[in-house]
Formats: sequence, C-alpha cells, structure tokens
Amino acid sequence: MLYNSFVYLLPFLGLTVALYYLIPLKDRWKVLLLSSILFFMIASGWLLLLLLFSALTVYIGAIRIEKDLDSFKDIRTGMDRKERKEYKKAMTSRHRKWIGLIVFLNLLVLFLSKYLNFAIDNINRFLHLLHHDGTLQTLPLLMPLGISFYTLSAIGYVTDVARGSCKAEKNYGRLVLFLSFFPLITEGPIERYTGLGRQIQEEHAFDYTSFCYGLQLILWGLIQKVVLADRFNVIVHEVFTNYTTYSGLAVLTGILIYTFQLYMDFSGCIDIARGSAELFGIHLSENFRRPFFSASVNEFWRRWHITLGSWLKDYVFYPVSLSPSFQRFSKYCRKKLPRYYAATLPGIFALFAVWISNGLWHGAEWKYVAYGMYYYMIMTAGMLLEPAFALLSRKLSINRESRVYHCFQVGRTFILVNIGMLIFRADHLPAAFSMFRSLIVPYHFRDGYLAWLFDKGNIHLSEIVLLFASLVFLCLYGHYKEKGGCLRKAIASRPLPLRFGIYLTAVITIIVIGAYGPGFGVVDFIYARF
Amino acid sequence: MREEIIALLKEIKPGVDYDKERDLIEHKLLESMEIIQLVADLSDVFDIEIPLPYIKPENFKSADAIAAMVQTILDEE
Repeated sequence: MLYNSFVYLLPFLGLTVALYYLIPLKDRWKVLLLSSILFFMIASGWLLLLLLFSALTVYIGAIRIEKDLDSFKDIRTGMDRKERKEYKKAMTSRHRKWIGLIVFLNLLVLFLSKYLNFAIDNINRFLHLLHHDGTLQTLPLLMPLGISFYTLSAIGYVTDVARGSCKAEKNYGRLVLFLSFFPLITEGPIERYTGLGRQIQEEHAFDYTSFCYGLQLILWGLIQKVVLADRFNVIVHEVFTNYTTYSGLAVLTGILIYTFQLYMDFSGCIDIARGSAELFGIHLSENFRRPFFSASVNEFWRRWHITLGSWLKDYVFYPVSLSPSFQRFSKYCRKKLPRYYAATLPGIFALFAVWISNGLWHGAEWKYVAYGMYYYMIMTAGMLLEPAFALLSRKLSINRESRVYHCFQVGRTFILVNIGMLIFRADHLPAAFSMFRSLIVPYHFRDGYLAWLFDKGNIHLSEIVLLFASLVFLCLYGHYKEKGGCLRKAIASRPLPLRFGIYLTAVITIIVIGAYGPGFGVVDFIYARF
Repeated sequence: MREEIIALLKEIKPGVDYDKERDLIEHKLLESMEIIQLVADLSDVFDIEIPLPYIKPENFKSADAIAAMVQTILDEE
C-alpha cells in the first residue's frame, strides 16, 4: 500500500485516525498496533512472523539484561571497589554475549531474506574462477516489508537497554508496535526506543495543532512525491536504462534529475510518514535537513538520511573505535605518528566499518558496496589531506571562512554527491563507470536538446517551468529554514480564510498537476526496496 | 580536573573558548572524530575506562559536563 495511494490516505489512515480518537486514551496504542499489523500483512502476509520473531528476541534479551543490571544495583553497595570492578567486567562480558547472539539472530534473518542470493552469486563466480563445474542454485527469496529498517531499530533497542539509555519494554505488543509502526515501516525514519518507544507508552489526547501540522506535512510530502518526483521518472528511466545510447549532456541531465527525483521521493515519503504519525500525536525524527546546503560530504551525511547516519555512528562507529583493540591501536599511533595523523588514523579505520555497513544496508549488490566505499574514500582523502589543504590555502592566501569559499565548498559537495547518485542509480557498477566516462563525450541530439526531452523524457515546457520554479522555491525555503524560520507556524498564525486558501491550493496542485494518467506509471517509493 | 580537560580539548581543537562554551555538540565544535580522540586522552590522563553508555551528547557538551562524567566514572570504579 503506497503512502500516496487513495487506499492509504482515506480508508486506511482515515479509519485508523477515527478509531484512534473514538476509544479510551489508554487503549489507543492498540489501534495503532492493529493497523500496523494489517499494513504489514497487506504488504508481506505471513512474513509478519519474521518481524514477530525479531521483536521476541529483543524483548526477551532486553528484559534479561535489565534484570541483570538491577541485581547489580542491589548488591553493589555491599561490594568494595575491586569486587565492583570485577563484577561489572563479568556483567559487561555477559551482556556482550547476549547482545551478540541477538544481533546474530536478527542479522541471520536479514541475510536469509536479503543477501543470500548475493552470497550464492559470488560463491558461483568464485567457483567459476577456480574452474569448478558445480554451481549453487539461487532461491526465490521473500523479503518482509521494512526488514532493513526494523532490524536496525531492534538492535538499537536492546543495545540501549544494555547501555542504560532506556528501560526494557515489559509489554510485547508495544515493542511490536515500536518496530512495525505503519508510517515508518516502509522507509523509516529509523527510530530509537528512547524517542518513539516513550511516545508509544504515553497517552495522546487529540491536539488540534499537532493534527493540523500532521495534515500539512502529508500535503507537502504528497507534493514532493506526486507533483515533483514521479513527474521526472520517465527521463531518469530512459537515460539509466539506455545508457549506452547516450553521452554528454543527456547523461548529465539524467543524473541531475535523478538526484532531484530521489530527494523529492525520499523526503516526500518521510514527510507523509511524519505527518501520518503527527495525526496520532506522535513525533518522528527528522530525516533530512536541507542536504544540498552542505559544504562537505561529511555534512551532507549529517543532513541526508539523518537517522541512518546517526544509527551507524552510535551502534557501529563508537563501538568499533572505542573497542579495546582499537584503543590499543590508537595508543600505538600516538607513540609513533605526528599528532594529527595519530588522532585521525584510528577514526579512519573505524569509518571503514561504517561505510561498508552503509553500502551493504542499501542493497545486496556490488554497486552499493562501491557506493559506500566511494564516500569512505572521499572522507578519508579529505581527512588525510587536510594539513596539505590548510597549507595550500595559507600559501595562496585563500580565506577558508569567506562566503565565496563556502559557495565553492557547497558546489564541490553537490558534484561529489551527484557522482554518488550515479553509482547508486546505475543498473550495475560497469554501467556507472560507462556513464561516468561518457559524460565527457558530447551527445549530438538529432532534433535538439528540448526535442529530446519532449520525446524521450516526457518532459514538456510545463515540466521545465515546474522544475525551475520548484528549485527556486526549495532554495528560498531552505534558506528561510536555515535562518530558523518555520513555515508551518507561519501558516498556522494566518487568518482562517488564508490558511484554507493555502491548503486548498495544495490539494488542487496535487490533484491537477500530480503525475497521473497517460505517460506516467505508478512509481514505487525508491527507498522502499531497501 | 576541569583545567586538565580544557587543556586536552584545546589540543584536539584549538580556537574555542571552552570556559564559556555551553554546547560543544550542538555548535558542531566536537564531532565524532574529536570525541574518540578525547575519550582516548581522558582514558590515559585519568587512568579510566570510559564505557560506551557514557558516549552520549549530554556528557560532551561542555568542559563541566565532561568533568562530571569523568568524576562519575571515577566514583563508580
């Protein structure tokens, strides 16, 4: 059930909202649980059992870990410092084993659902290289809805309980709701129990402001998805599918429009998800913060898919970089290397784990591994060459704090991100290389560039005007938000007729200029496949 | 302890007024790469092991918060 479909927006979401506010406060979470299970089963049927299994592993594990932590609290006062230290060490080691088992079970389910055929394909290629005749058969895999998202939330939850960041959930149903909450199961955001879990436990009375904000976000999400993203699917599909036919400006157009399409599609979905949750008084995490205003790729990843980056930082980067072996390596570096490199090198090694995870999380294909490694190499090069850049800037008297330099950085980041998008969207890695090479070869449009856009891309003058108008709007709106503005509050403070006019215009825009009808197919949310 | 922590912070990232700065994390003055350097330095200087649960923004937002975290770990040990 797509979030931009009539079935989701009216019968499903509408009935859930009505039922939610009709029943007593203390039972409202049960409506969300039932709707979430229904939403999941419509998409994945009895693969729901896999989600329930994941929930069960972390449910049991978290309660067990919490009991252990509580019993330590009870007995610690009667211990001396040495005993306390030894007990804590043994307890931490015990928790690591339990979490290790839980993570293994959850990743095993994820592996069998998503990565098994990738592994089989690679084993077959390896056997072929060894001139071995036998091949392993790939299997028809069934991937439950949102498994990549809820697996991360599940692992994060049990780890947070062990770290003492949140209490273990005693109600299995609530934990299932946390993992399967229907607005976020398709594309995230990837939530923490400290945020969403707490809200699930609270009772939510009807709040007019939150409800209106929710509707506004849904409308804005629909405009991004239906009016902007889907409209450009035809040209993107044409360039990336028939990439051998095109070069130069044609390929560049495909890449730039894909970047725009992906941003509008993903951000639109997240806004519909956040808006849907706000109808129930639940606030989900922000997943995008004007990513194309970034001055570096590091900053880009703090603004793009924020919840994935933040999850990888807390559950991969810190555990790896603060592990005893890494700490030993860090000490070794500090003895042997100049201060800057001694401080940077351990982090660079830990980042490898983050970016290989990021790449593989997106999909079971080498191009996604390359996508992760591409960002890893840029960041590593940036860190290692920083002293040289600083020296060069001083020699050339470049003011790195100036506005001009900042604009240069934003432009440079935009180019690097678009190369990343090329790897991400290309059919496979050789196709990405081929398209990248072909960028420097001019493409001779038979009847001119505009005729090509009209003919092959289903893009007409109205789409070009719309594209530029939306880019101008997004830049101005982004700048306004960067300065701390809040358009939702600004609209809410206007008189009723004006507000009504704005909402009506948004609805009419979606209905009249949404990408429906001849020439447009139904376009799935791009990130839903991950 | 506070002065020692400020000295470590200045070595990692000079040019910040750590006496006055109240939110190093929110103001992007201390990011993950700097935090792991600081954790390694704190472990050396105060002979402590900083467990993962302590690696959270509120413990690194100012020199005072870092000092309070180190004191808590010393007390717990």
